[in-house]
Amino acid sequence: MKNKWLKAILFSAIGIILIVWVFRTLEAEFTTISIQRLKEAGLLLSQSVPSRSYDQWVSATRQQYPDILPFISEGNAEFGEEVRAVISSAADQAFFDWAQSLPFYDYGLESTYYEEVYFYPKRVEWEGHPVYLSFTPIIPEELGYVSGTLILLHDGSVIRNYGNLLTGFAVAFIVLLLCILFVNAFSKDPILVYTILIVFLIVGVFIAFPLYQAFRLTMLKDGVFSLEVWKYVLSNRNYLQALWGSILLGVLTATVSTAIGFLFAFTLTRTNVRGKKFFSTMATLPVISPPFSLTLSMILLFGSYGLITRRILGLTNVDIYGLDGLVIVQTMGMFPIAFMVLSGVLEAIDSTFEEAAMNLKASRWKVFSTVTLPLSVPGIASAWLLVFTNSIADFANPLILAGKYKVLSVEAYMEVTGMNHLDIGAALSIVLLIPTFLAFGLQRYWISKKSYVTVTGKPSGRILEVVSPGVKRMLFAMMAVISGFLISLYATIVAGCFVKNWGIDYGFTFDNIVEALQRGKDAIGDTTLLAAIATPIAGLLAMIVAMIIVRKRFPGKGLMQALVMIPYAVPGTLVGISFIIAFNKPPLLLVGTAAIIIINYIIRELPVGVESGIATLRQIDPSIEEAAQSLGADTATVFRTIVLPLIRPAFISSLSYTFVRSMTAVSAVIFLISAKWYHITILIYNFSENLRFGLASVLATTLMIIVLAVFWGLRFFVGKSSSMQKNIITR
Amino acid sequence: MSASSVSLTNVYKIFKGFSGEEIVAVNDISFQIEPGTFVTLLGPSGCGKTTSLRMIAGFENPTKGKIKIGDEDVTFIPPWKRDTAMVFQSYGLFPHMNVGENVGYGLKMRKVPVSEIHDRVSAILDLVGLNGFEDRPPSSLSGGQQQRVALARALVVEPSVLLFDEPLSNLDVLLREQMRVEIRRIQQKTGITAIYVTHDRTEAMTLSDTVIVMNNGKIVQTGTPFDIYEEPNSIFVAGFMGKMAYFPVKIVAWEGKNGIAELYDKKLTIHIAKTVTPNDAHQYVMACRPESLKIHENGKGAVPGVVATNVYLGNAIESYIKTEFGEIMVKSELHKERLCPEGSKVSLSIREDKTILLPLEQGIDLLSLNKAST
Repeated sequence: MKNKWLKAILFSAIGIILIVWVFRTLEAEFTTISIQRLKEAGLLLSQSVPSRSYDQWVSATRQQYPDILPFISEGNAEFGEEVRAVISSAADQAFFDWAQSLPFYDYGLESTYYEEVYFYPKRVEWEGHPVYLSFTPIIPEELGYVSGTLILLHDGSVIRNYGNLLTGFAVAFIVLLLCILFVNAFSKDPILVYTILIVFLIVGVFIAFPLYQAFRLTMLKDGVFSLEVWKYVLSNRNYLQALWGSILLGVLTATVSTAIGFLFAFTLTRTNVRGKKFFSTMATLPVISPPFSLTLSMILLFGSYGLITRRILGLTNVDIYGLDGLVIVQTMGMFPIAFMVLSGVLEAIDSTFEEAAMNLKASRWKVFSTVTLPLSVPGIASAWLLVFTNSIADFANPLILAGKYKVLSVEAYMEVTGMNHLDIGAALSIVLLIPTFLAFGLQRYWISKKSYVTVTGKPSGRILEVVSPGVKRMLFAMMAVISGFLISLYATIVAGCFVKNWGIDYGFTFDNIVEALQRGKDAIGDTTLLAAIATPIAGLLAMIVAMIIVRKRFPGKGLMQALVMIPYAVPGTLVGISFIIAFNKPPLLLVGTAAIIIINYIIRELPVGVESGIATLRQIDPSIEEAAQSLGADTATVFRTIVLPLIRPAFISSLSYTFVRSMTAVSAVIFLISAKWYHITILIYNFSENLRFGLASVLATTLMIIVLAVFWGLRFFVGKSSSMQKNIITR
Repeated sequence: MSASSVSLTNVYKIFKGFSGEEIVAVNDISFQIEPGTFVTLLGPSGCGKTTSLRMIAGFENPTKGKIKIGDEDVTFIPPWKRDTAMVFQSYGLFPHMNVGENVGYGLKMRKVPVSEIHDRVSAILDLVGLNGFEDRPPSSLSGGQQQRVALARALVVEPSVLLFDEPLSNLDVLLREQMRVEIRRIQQKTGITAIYVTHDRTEAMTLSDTVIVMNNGKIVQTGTPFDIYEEPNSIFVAGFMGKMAYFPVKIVAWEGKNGIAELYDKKLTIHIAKTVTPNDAHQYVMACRPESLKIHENGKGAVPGVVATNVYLGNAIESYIKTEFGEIMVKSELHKERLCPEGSKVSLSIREDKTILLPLEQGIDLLSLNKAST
């Protein structure tokens, strides 16, 4: 043990000395060269000084060279002349008062009388600025001897900043060196330690730091701690109205979605209706459809110039914008979430319970109301909360369809992009965070613990006929109606591609397709490229995090798990806004780059990827990994040769979801796009806002095609994995 | 193949329980294993035997103490750097590789050239009786075959210590008996040091050169199978190794390792286990195995009783006799004519040379001992 300590300390000492020496040398070199340049500048300048009437020259020089402040001292003491400072303003007086008290002032003047330049090598501070002082002899041409001294004040901030930068780098290098040396020396599993450090770094910088910055911004006013922003936000009637609007919308959507989700889940798991595959596809389709697509078709069908409202029914005063339109669109888009949760729950309820009830002479209705329904209650609550969270955080649908109805997500967006009030926008999305966080916490930590359902892992196979034929027909009809509605919505978008001018001219044309693809090809390319880059990185990172969470014990594990899960509960708008706030200045100047969009995708996907990674890894017998270790494989080799191959199907499945969600992202991305990097969904929004519905439809359809192609393509290669369907979609 | 010795010195392992409380899984154990010997860690669930094995393998680190393999202190060395190989209870075969790749994995890790891997894998599969199974996937094999692949995989890397974690628990009885013989045969042939963990005393008896009996994180007795069975040093060890009958005695005097004990006014000379020191302050019971008792129809025996049940086992009969000391089981060979029916009055005689004195711990009730011991 002692040996290790000695070695580590020895190497650290050598390393530190080396690093310090290198950086000191660099700094000294730079300073020397810079000072040399300043000296030369000073000499050049001194040659242009007139023998009298300096004022003009001084002001002209100050204008021309903002980094240099010249002052003049007349007279040559060596020749017995009276030496006096040339003062033409209070500022000059202040300068000379200060300069003449400097210990080297007289020496500087003296040097110039011998025709030498004196450059005081150390930086001094003048009125809060770092400066260098130089004394240059003034030798006017007509006189040919030193008639005075040109005192120059050089701005030293560049040199100082460079010095600071070098020092910063040196410190970073030293810290890195120490980390590496000590980790290698003392840890039994250095790769694990590096992995943990890197994961914490990523999670800290890209999750904790931006959120902290966002919070901090709301607590500052002109750089000082203040609750002004909060007071403003919380007392403003408009915002409170928006908060209420979001909550009301959430409640309505969650309730209706849960009902529809339960309808589908119950009918598909507890009865033997025909076309189960079709209906279950219908119930999961909206998950992969692009944002704005449902709003688009609602407007096309039911708007004031809608196909159904205007053309077919001839109504003229229909306003689809507002709460009713939003509830319909959100419900259609989010009931799959409820469906997936509820079908999982219902499948896991052993039909033995229902059989026992029937055996005890309970009627079908009684079985449902006293056994099935109560056992599903935690699942129903779970589904409700999940949809509620999604609805409040929803940004895309209200952006177009809300009309006069205010919701908080859109208000936050307006403050940031419209009014450039980052602090208010941040505060508003933080307010939005409260209900989502509460709902998320409730769902995860209270309800899921109260589940009465034993997940035995094997579905009981037999489906009991718990409904009468009449009820069965009714359920089937209801599902059919909803599915039909859904299909018509999607069909409308596809149709919209070929219609000249929806609502006005229903003629057939290919022009929309041509124009949209031409104008949108950059956005399509960008979006696909960035999603394609982010997807494998997100997937791998999630798998690594899942692996160390499941298989390793280390201090701070709980913290890492919590941090990784945070983006799950945070609305996209808050993520986007906090990214803008945190990453718009060096050293992390990422705003406007592709990097920030990719990082955003990765962070958004991390919780879901980690969760499914953990679920998959838990299914692998730990003996398999231990066997590999006992045969000589270290952590990285075990991951590479054993874990990765075994989780490949689940891994690829989760990759396809990541790709889909990155392609269809809106709420965070809308803040991060720039002229260089655009997103196809934002383009769809722009076209919709400009009433170019044809173009919007084309882009939406293109997006759907890309997404479906990737999604089904991967599933075809890998095979279905039903546990993956439980991933919750947020935009 | 060079076998190594293994030694544990004052090893503790303390876990944190669910609500943060401390669980002492291994409580100061020390033992030394000679190279080439087959040692079994035997004990009930939770006694610390598996934890000890895992610490030798490197999957857990001791909270205190030292572990050496050969001359090397391996206490904090990770599992992949130790020269050990483990055979797991659930086999741990890699499902995405076939038998050949599974067995060759350890060799690949050691950067053995491919052709050599092929040869060594064939040889070892031959040894375990799975000739030609290289291309089969693990899922197509039976439990016994899978376990043999796991064994082959561990053997082929020629470790200095071979570790077994209850490898036969998932197999049926016949297979278990078969595999036991195989494992012992292979260990003898290769001369490797083997450490085996089990709660099955028959396995321990048939496989081991040395048995280390553990309870509650401590070592209770170490010895050959003979020592443990015939000369247990405590009621716990005696009871763990098989059913015992216990009789209360009063120790009148000690003669070296023999105690002069009184039962029913008769004086008996009974010895105590080699590893136990006689102590005047302790209470002792006289114990013997069911095979060392004899049932008499008349009053010839020393202990009177009534037959409660007779259980026919095929190769023997277990008779449960109600006596004043509780229900005592007697195992006799099958002689139909001597079978005393239930309810009949009988008496038991005890073979004095087959008894042993065991210390009676405070608060243990003789009646419950005779009923409880299995």
